[in-house]
Amino acid sequence: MSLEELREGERAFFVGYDPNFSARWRRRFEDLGLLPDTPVACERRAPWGDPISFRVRGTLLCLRRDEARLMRVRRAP
Amino acid sequence: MTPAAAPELEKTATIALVGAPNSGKTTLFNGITGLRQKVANYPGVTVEKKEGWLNSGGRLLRLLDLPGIYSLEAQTPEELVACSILSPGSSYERRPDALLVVLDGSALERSLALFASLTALGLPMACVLTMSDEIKARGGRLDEGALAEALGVPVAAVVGHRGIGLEGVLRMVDGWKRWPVAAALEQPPSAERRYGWAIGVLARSFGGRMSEDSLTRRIDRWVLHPLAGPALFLLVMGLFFQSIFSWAQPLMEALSSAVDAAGVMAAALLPAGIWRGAVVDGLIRGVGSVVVFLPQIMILFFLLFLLEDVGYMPRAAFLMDRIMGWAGLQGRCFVALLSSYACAVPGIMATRSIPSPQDRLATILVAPFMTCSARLPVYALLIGAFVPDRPVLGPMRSQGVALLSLYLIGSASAFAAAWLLRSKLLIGDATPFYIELPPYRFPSLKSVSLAMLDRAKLFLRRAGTMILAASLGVWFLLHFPRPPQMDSLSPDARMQHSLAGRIGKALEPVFAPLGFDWRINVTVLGSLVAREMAVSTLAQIYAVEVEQGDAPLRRVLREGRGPDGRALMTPATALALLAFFIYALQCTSTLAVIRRETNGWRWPAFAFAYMLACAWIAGSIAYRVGAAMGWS
Repeated sequence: MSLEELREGERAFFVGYDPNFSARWRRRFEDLGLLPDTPVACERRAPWGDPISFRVRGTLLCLRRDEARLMRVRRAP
Repeated sequence: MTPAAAPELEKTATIALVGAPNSGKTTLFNGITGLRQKVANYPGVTVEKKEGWLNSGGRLLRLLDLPGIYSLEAQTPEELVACSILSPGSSYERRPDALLVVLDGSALERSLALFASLTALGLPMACVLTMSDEIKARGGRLDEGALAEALGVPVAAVVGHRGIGLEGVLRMVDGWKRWPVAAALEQPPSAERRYGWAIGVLARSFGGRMSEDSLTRRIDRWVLHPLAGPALFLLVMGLFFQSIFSWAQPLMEALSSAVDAAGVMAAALLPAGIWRGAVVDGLIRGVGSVVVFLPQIMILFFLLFLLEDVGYMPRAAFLMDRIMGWAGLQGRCFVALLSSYACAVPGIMATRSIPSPQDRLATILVAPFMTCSARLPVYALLIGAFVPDRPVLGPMRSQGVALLSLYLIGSASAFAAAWLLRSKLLIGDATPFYIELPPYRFPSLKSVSLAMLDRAKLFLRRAGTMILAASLGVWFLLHFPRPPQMDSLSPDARMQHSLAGRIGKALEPVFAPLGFDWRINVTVLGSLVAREMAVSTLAQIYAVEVEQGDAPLRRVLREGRGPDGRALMTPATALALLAFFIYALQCTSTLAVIRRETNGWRWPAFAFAYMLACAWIAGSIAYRVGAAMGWS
């Protein structure tokens, strides 16, 4: 499933990036700590559902749906 | 030692402050150098390198404050500044001799992952742990000794904005020659390896479990709520503008009487003649009419800096990002546009943190539509004169609502213009958006007040230099050349004979659809130097027209009548003038900074022309609406 599909309050582990994700920007999000097996939690959606804030490594990171759709996660058990 | 090596030793050493965006570098920099560079609680405030000096054991040390970075791979113009100064083949005059790495206590893993990238540079390093109070408050225990051991470099902990721990940093910096070069990770350190290493370091130095910042979470439940959030945003903005009116009034009246008293005194001291006119009408009335708005300027900046320090700005960007998306921009542009509320110049500089060149140029070209503090005196004057003060809702009153509407129209126009530019002229793909929401932080009243006083000084300096020179210039243009039989003519007829009067007259056909007479045309011309000049020019012209002694300019605007018995300014004309000021780019400093940031005159010329066209059209529409409402 993609990061975008997480509901508010749901937890997951990051899996990886879609092949369509731009390589240059992929490195930036890796710098921000979005790496395989990183725990992520969907915190909340802005009005109109976009952007979405996620809790990643103790910080709150906001992404747009377009990017979140291209990031794969697996739901935490 | 060879003789050639001796001067090398005398060179001033440079230490660079490196860290992630919003990790507290500039607060630390200000704390140890005693300077006052701009700080706020959101990423991307520092977009240039800043230099400071430090006395270390009788020797000067140069401290460089660099824009924040996440790794050594730059994605934006501002990150490029930092990365190119640090890189081994540095194009900067001289590569730093050592690095003071700032570790953000509220984002430890990311800070350590950045530290891991920096080890590749092979420079001596030491670390400063900022926001160390937040670790404890959230239930974590960081053993600084163990951290220093794991990193292999000295570590000092601070609470930057409270000034706690600064002596420790200064002592550490004194001994910078003994800083070790940390062992580098294998090359090139991938993000996965760097984060893996960071977690290893924390395993050795970090105890307890850092809970989520529950206060931030509780506040965000309301501030970022899909319905309550935007409502709160509007309420915050509404109160913001209302307090500019309500709180400023008593102070402004005191300043006005001081200016009037100065005018009366100067008139009594100086012999009658040209110079008395120049000093009393040009200098004191012209500059004084602008200076009386000092309280409004101070309240504006105090509230703006307060919101910035608390951490509200990136949240406003989060709430507004969808709207920015419709305009073809991203939330990061919103932060640059928000800083344009103070002044378009720093707003345009802040666009350096925008990754996409198209987004960046579009933001530069619309930033002047955001209502800057130089418009505030003009807006406050016209609203004070023509909008009756009535209660609207709770503490909000009609004048505050009028001011808020002007700000909203300006911002909406900026978005609309950005959408047009991005879809017709600056076509390019949208780049990914990401922004961090920092924890809410209790603002330091001292630093907010000091920053406000700096802006107040800047306003007064501008009034004492640029506005003063321009006011005198306008006075001379309004009084020369003198007509032949000057004593037989009315003051109004004399002014119409002057150079300014003639130019104003010549422009009447151009501005007739906006309801402007020659007097307002001269005002508009004067405001091309700087927007505040509109107030100074109106004060000078109407002082000649209306012999009302020392009635406040507001009342003169509302009640003054010309020699033909008609009102000098009707409400419809005032509405058109306000509409004109929302759009026109009347600011030489903004044109200069657009030229600098876009490397040429093409874009500033474009911005000036299209904004003037918008201003003329908006003014004509506003005048017609005003006339239709029976306000002429």
